[in-house]
Amino acid sequence: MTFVDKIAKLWSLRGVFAESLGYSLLIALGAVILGFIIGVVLAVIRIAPKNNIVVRLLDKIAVLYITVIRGTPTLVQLLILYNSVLVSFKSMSTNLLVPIIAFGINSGAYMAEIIRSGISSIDVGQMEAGRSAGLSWLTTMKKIIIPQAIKVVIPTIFNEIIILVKETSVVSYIVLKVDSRQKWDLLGMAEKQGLATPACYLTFLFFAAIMYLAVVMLLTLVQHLIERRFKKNER
Amino acid sequence: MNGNLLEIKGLYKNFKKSKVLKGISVGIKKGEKVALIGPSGSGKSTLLRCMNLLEEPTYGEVWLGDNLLTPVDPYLHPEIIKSSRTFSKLLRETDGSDAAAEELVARIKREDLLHEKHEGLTYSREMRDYLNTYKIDINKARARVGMVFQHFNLFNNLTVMQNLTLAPVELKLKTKEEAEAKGMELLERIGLPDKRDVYPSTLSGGQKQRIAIIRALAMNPEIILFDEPTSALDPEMVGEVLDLIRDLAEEGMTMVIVTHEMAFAREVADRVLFVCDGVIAESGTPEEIFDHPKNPRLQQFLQCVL
Repeated sequence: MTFVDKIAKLWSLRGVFAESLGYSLLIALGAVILGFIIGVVLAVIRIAPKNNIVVRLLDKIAVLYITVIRGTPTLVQLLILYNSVLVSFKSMSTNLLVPIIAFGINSGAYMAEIIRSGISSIDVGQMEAGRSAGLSWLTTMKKIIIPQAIKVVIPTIFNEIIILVKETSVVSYIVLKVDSRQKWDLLGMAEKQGLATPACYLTFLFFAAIMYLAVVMLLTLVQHLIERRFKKNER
Repeated sequence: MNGNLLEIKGLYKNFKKSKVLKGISVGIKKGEKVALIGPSGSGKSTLLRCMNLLEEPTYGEVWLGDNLLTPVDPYLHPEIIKSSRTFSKLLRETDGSDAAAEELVARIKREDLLHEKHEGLTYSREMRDYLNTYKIDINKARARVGMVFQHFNLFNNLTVMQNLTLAPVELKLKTKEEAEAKGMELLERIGLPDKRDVYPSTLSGGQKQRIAIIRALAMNPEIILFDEPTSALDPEMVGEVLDLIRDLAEEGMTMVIVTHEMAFAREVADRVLFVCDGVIAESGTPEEIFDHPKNPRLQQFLQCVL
């Protein structure tokens, strides 16, 4: 097969590749949203004053969660969840929730530490000003501290999102189903088509690599736009 | 209460091992302006921060009008001491007379022998009624006490107007419209109405501190606590901030000011408290403190700063 033939083959498959890229992005998006929510909640628990037993208990749980999730490979987590806890989701006709929950849980642990570091970097005077005006700890956290902390950690959060987008490629280890039909993520599709047309395998892999790269570059652009917007807001 | 707007009783504050405040009692009347002066590290800022519980006192009670902000301090209530296990245990070692009981109460207080968690303190019905009547949610209390910080602490993620309206609206003291009208009125008062929609990072130190002061005013506080309000300012901006504080004083606002500006303390304060080594070493009118200081530490301090 000449190079032109390979490109022609790739072009003929553009529809299925586009669909598979869509699933990759959908899973990443869902996981980012879930991970961010988990991250904020865990960070707030970790940072909360430990003045009652409920908070202390929640804090212990949060520490355990973060330790276990950060300490084990994502693929292992995905396979364990797929085959045990999320087994009822697994058997649904559309089981996209399995990877979304698995990657969301995984990302939540990293986001928690990122957001916690952001909260810690905010001057304690901000909390004191809120509290001394009569606002509760939680209200001050929501209205004053977290908005400032998020701004500080945007670059690091995007770093995590980028890692997550690429890490969704391990979903090719599980069987994705949409409306009872098997579907593939971007890398899964490259492998599947590579098996069907071995001569084009490397071409498909390069194509997948270029697609991931394009998505990441797009994300970087979004990051810069958000950062610039925040800067302008304060001037 | 005995007419005090804010009252501190038997206040002690320990940070880990170090004892910062060692037994302070002071009452502040409505309309009174009190200046706290003293060497750095003397505990004057900590004392101020205990007044709205930004620092939690180790022992002692803080009262705002008829409301108790701190937990009840058993050492201030002989009847609570007498209900403790330690008291009944130690009483058995004495002859059990009234005099011995009184002496024991004093000893428990002096030697800090109560370990509250293990005491099984039993409060009498009068005591429980007393607690239920006077105890107040700390957030409600803080809404009545304004605080102005050395480093301004304007909310960096909010515009000037949002800084002024956040707490009154969140706490449902005012509607958004009312709060903004009040905010505008206050901004006009300090001559900065054009700054309503800018973020704090664009303001000068003097502007920030004046906005921090009107942010406190926006809550219609009963008292304002100033924690070294001019110490972080460039010299040319000190005047505008002091002018605003002076205006408030003349309008009759109750205030407590921790300050190193002796001339200002002398001019504005009704009463000056000299805090040294965690106690109020001397208190009196500005004339008494600045012209006829009695305490040798105060004399020494004034020689250094005047």
